[in-house]
Amino acid sequence: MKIALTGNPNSGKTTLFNAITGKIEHVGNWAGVTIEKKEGEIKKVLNNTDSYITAVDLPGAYSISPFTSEETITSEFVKNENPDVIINIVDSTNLSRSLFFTTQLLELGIPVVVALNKTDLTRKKEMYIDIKELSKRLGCPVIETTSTKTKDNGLADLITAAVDVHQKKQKPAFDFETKEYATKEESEEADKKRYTLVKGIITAVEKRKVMSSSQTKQDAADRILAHKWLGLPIFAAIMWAVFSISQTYLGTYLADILVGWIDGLYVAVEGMLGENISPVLSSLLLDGIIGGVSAVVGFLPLIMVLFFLLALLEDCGYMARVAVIMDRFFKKVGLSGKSIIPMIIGTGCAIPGIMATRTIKDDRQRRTTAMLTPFMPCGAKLPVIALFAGVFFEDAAWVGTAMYFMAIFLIIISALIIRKITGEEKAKSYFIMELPEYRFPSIKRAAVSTMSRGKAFIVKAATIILVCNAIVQIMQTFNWKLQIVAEGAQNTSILAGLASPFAVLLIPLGFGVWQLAAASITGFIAKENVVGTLAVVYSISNFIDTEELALVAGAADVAGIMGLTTASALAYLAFNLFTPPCFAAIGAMNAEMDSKHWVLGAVGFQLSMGYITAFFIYHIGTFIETGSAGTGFVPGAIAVAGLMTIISVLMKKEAFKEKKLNYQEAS
Amino acid sequence: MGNLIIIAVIMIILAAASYKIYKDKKNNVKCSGCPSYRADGGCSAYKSEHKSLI
Repeated sequence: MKIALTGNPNSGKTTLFNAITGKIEHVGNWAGVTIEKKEGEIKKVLNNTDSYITAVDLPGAYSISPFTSEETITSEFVKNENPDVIINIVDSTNLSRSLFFTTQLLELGIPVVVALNKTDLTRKKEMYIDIKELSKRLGCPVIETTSTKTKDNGLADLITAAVDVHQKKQKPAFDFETKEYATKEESEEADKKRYTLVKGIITAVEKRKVMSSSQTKQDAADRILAHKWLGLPIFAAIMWAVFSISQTYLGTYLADILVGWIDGLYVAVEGMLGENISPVLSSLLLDGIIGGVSAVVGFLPLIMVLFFLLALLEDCGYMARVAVIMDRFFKKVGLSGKSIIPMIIGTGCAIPGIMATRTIKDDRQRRTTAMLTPFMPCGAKLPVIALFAGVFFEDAAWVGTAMYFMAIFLIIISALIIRKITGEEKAKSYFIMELPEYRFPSIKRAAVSTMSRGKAFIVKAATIILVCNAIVQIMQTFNWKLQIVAEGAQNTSILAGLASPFAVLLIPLGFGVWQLAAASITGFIAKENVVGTLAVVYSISNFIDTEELALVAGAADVAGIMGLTTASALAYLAFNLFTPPCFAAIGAMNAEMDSKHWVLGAVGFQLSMGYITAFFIYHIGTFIETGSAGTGFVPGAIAVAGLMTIISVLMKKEAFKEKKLNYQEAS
Repeated sequence: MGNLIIIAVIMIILAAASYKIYKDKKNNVKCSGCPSYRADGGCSAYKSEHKSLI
């Protein structure tokens, strides 16, 4: 038996799906979180039958007539894949909006059960809904649910009701022949009748103390938080607080405890090895594997605290307001208002962020958004930010905040450049988003989301990072003749040989040494590798000081070993954050862009933007520090100009091809 | 003898990590660190039917 979960965006479908299947799919207190259907088996405790019951979580839809790509997935599934039962999740706080879709579902002939969700909120709002009358008027069972609760949530009754209606014929809510409408007028006429029906039902079943037209505290909060001018500084202050708590206070405190344990492990293994073990093997195990991995894992608490706080912000409804704040800037540079959603999702991981771009209809806007989403600092980049903030800026929270907003600034500038070089005409973009109500965030949901990310981070550290660090250590230990490199002669190692040519290209950016070049290269496999490789090449077992409770042990010493000035350190950080993301994210870009030229252009563009940003930071910073530009200004400027020319040619070619195709289609 | 044991330990660690990477790749998990990674071997988020570069 297959049950389809459908409903309007942000009606709580995924939360209900997670509750009935035990899965932990990502949920968010805003519309558009689910962009693909997801399947799961319903928990045994809720299933009283002997057969398997599968639930399919579908993206939110306002209508069975698809307008967006997510609505198409939902519409095609309920129409073509013949689910046995449809559970229509209805936001009980917004019944009038939700029932239009319900009336359409009832016309399909598939048995429908209405889950009247978020009933805890209706009680708080002193709303009353006559369930019996609603069920009678719709002609299907209506079950009250609160899927965020673990007990008395109505979910068992909901599944029982779904099993009961299985194989029964569903009648439409009113005598109306369902058909594909031949004309727009016919379709609009049918919609008018549905709205009239919904209005009648609402009048009969719903009683409210506070009318939706009245100004509420939520409206008052929105007037400040989503204000045209105040919204952005408030967002900046909130992000500063988030970075401050995660990277200066709580995160560092927790990291200190974790690193204490890792240090204990390191010392224990070192003791077990004794002195008779070959230094090469001992170094590979201690410095390459344990040291490299622990240098990355040491930052895990910082990342988890940051994601926990971001999950709270998302769950309370604030991130949806951020989308509204940013829309004003984005649509001015030719991006879709919807572009902000992939970018916010991209702060967790660039891959789901890039995937979320498929909700954007216009090809060029979708590709541009997929190209620019990886600029947002994802979870993998956070250890790099934390490391440099600790070594060069005394754990200052402004470094993380500045990188976050620099990413937004780069996205805006890049969108302008792309629009210019592709010759895209100015098009008006409209962004309609339903703002969820503010609510007290769920600690449990935030904790589950954080634990999931933490687990994934550990898996990545124990696989990709571990293997990369071991390879880096081996390449640093041996020279090209496969002889062990003498102490202090690492410049002759295989690693140095491979990284040195790239290091030359980085001289104009202020960090032209092979160790830093090697770290940046391994960063393309996974950004955490930057930290791991730096730990291996500079023989630093972990960066976090367990005695002084500072993020980076002996920050001045580490800074000295790296040989970077403040300006070149900031440039190196920007280079690693704004050059192309990891290979997996590039793969996702390729899948979503569906054009080799655009993917190559995107990677080249990201490389150029990272290079240009680092170039300007280094030379302007050095000018402020010393009164003159840094090393390699002229060759750097030539390289920047060359890269931009190549991208411009690639994109113009693509734009010309599309114009030609459109012309051919038109003629 | 001690060196051989250490070589064996290192080989086991690297083989286990490499096998996990291989298994993820086979199961179409593009990135083990992605929050959508699932222990049951699938990636809930990444189900794109498009071709991938990697």
